[in-house]
Amino acid sequence: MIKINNAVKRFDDVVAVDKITCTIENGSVFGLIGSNGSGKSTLLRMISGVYMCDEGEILVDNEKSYDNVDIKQKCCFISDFPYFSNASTINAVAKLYRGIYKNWDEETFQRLCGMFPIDPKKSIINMSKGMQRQAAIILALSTKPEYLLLDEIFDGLDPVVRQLLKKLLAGEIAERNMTVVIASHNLRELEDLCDHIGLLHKGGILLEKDLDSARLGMHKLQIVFDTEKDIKDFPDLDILSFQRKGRVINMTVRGNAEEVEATINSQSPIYYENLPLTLEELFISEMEAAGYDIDNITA
Amino acid sequence: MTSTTLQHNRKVSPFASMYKWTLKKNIVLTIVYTVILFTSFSLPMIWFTTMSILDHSTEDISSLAYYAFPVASVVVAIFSIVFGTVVFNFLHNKRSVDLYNAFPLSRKDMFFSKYLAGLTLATLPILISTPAGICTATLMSPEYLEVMFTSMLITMLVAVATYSFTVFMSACVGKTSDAVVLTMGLGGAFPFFVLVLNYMIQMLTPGINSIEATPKLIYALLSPEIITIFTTYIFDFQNNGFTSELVIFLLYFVLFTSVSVFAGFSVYKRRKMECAQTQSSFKLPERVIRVIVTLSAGTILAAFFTMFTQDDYDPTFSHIWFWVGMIFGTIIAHFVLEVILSKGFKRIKKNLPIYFISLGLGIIVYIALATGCFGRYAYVPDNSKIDSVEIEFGTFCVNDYSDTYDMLGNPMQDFKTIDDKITDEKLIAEITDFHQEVVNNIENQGLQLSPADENYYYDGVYPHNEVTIKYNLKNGTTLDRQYTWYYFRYSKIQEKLKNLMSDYNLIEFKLESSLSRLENLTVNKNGRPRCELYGYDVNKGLLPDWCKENLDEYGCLSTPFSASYDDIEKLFDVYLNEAKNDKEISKNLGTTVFLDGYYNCINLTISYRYYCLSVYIPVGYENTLDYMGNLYKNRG
Repeated sequence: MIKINNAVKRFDDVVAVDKITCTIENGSVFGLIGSNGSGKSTLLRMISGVYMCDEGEILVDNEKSYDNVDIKQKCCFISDFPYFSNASTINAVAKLYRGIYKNWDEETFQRLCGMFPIDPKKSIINMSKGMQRQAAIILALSTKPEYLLLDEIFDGLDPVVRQLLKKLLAGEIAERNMTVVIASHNLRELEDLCDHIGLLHKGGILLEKDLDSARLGMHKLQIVFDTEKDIKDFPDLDILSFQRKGRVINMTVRGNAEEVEATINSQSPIYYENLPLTLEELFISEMEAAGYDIDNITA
Repeated sequence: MTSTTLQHNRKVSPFASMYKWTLKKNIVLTIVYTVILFTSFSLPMIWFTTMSILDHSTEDISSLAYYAFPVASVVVAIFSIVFGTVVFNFLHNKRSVDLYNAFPLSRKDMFFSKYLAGLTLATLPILISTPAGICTATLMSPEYLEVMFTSMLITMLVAVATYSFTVFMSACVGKTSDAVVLTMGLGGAFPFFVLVLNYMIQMLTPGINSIEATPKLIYALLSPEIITIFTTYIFDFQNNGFTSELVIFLLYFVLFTSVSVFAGFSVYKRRKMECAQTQSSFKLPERVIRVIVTLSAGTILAAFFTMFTQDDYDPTFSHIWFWVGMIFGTIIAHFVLEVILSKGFKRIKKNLPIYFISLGLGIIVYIALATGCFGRYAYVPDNSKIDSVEIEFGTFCVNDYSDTYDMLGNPMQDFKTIDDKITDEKLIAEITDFHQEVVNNIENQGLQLSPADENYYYDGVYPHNEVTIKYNLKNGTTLDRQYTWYYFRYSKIQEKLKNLMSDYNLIEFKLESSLSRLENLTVNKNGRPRCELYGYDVNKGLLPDWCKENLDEYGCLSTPFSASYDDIEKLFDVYLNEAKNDKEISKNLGTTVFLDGYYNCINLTISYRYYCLSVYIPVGYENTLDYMGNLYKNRG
């Protein structure tokens, strides 16, 4: 389990992570989403022990991860731009990993090298961004980590490889109860994979819950009235977003589904539908509530 | 965990894996280093030895080795800095920081595995490439084997010390370029700073020769790169071996290395990895270099500006110009440092406190020194505290003809001086009285920071001269003072000086002379014809018996002999009489003469206190050789 207690990280005058508290259970796939510069990558680095907390603490299995060899043996971090030395092949880097990680599994490494379309004898830095990421994934999974920390892992991967990755992660989670923390802007992919999300904005955490619960509390409604209605006609609703085209209203509201429906029905709509909410819409709605929306940015 | 997992991972530890990985990553650079070191050191040795053997030459290897080790040390120092930065440049890139710091290695293991790998890379090429040259060269000169291997070990110390210092710098900074700049900057700037500071002290404290008084080690405190320069040229290890001063010097650098490693690890352990590619994690080295470069620049410009004011009558202007130069120099240095270290002027305001600290230190040093250095420069010891005094009056060759004059402008054929150690109480009192007069005069006239040009003949005192006084005190300490002619230009001081140099106080001192290898020289005897002679190898069969019996394997007299000034003067008279009768020379008296090859000559070198005089005496000059033989037999 990963416990983050009031973690703070500053870079000069900028507070990149501002008193974040959350818990990531074992075996879960935790999606870290948020606006640009919200602290996702910084938080991942703090969990993996690259950065030290300025305040607060981050515990992995009840121990601090910073400069903790035993905890780091259980973790593997793939950054948004994986680093490889000049002229290193995946075999050469594997040799290093083999000596460093106690749980290195050669069989897994060979199997993954066969699965991914990557030449183990070619210099990694001469490969494309996507191929480099594949190499990083192969090496990381071969260390058999208990905690896998991924930063923008889908960036550069083609759809087929993305599917492969999701399948592999799912297999590892099921087989070994591996915990995965993924930071990504690719909400479509996260939606398929994550069971928990954490929504970050300006260093703080806006939302941290399992995905289904997050969806349960928010509703995307499409309603048609016989007269034109405005947002002030619905004072009892916690409206996150409101769009009107003539008599057709699309709104996102927070609250209990039955209570929301009852409130709408009291206004006698011609048509009412509760549409499935995507993670992206959830993100945008929450961000709008926090004042981070396109109108505020362009104003 | 599968059996394949266990089988692979038991073989090496993470420490060993990182060590091997670092070695492997830099193997190409190591090969290049080895080749360059071999080419710059061993290859010339091998070539020289081979050619000498083929030519049947009797040249020994010492002169080549004298220059070869410093050259090799330059190569070694450069690559030590390279490895110190390359091995630890993972700290200076955000991406590599993510990778390496996520690895399950403790900071201690990461640091020392990398450090040891870099150390191996910096020193292994020395062990590989230098023994070939050393062993080949000592085929010709076996007596130098021990010296050369010891010199190689000293070169290794250069490598280890420089590498360790660079590692410390790499741990301090956010960028690789800053590590290189700081290492080379501190290594180069610090000795220069000490020299400049000493110059400032000498400007502000007449009499104190701080450049001479400063232990050599101070210059090299932060400069491991110059160990070999000191051992070769200053301590002259190859000829003098391990003197106590050299041993202290070398021990210091062992300590320096240890401190660098400890400091490097301490900084690394506390380092915040987010400083990669940005600012320094530990700012002290950068601040130190800012202070020393700023102060150095200020002092240099201050000294330069004071040269505009050699006004003898009001030294105030020299102090004003000093501070004009100091302020200009420090400001210029501050701007230049901002460009180099901050890559622009965006942090210029933030770094202003460092500038003011530098200027403040300059002010403090100036005030301390200009107000008398806490009474040090004005101090003249009480006669009762003095055990003995050594005093020297310097003279200087005015022209090429070896004409010499004493401090009062009287021509002299040799330097007459007071006995080495004066214990006569009356004479000691005269010296302290003279010294006190000089000090009083300085205090009364004010401190002139840039005394008049020494080529300027002034008030009856012939320039270029100085007086050095060394008091050996009864408490075992010594006090040295050195004053240039500028401070003797007043009649009262000259009177006291004249008394000191009177015949009563002077003793005739003996000249040392020895036969040595043939070399050209100029013979002059005030107003008499000048001849230049070149000599050739001596045919031993033509030598007089007293020479033949006492020559060593190099053709030199086995025992040097001394003779009085009068006897040497008479020898010259005999010699020139024979030279005048020599048909070849006499027709060309007054002009330059070149003797033909059939002349066999003995070279007589006479060492005076301040210069050497060599005379070629053809073996046919029997009177001269007979006279010289008598001097030799009656040598003192």
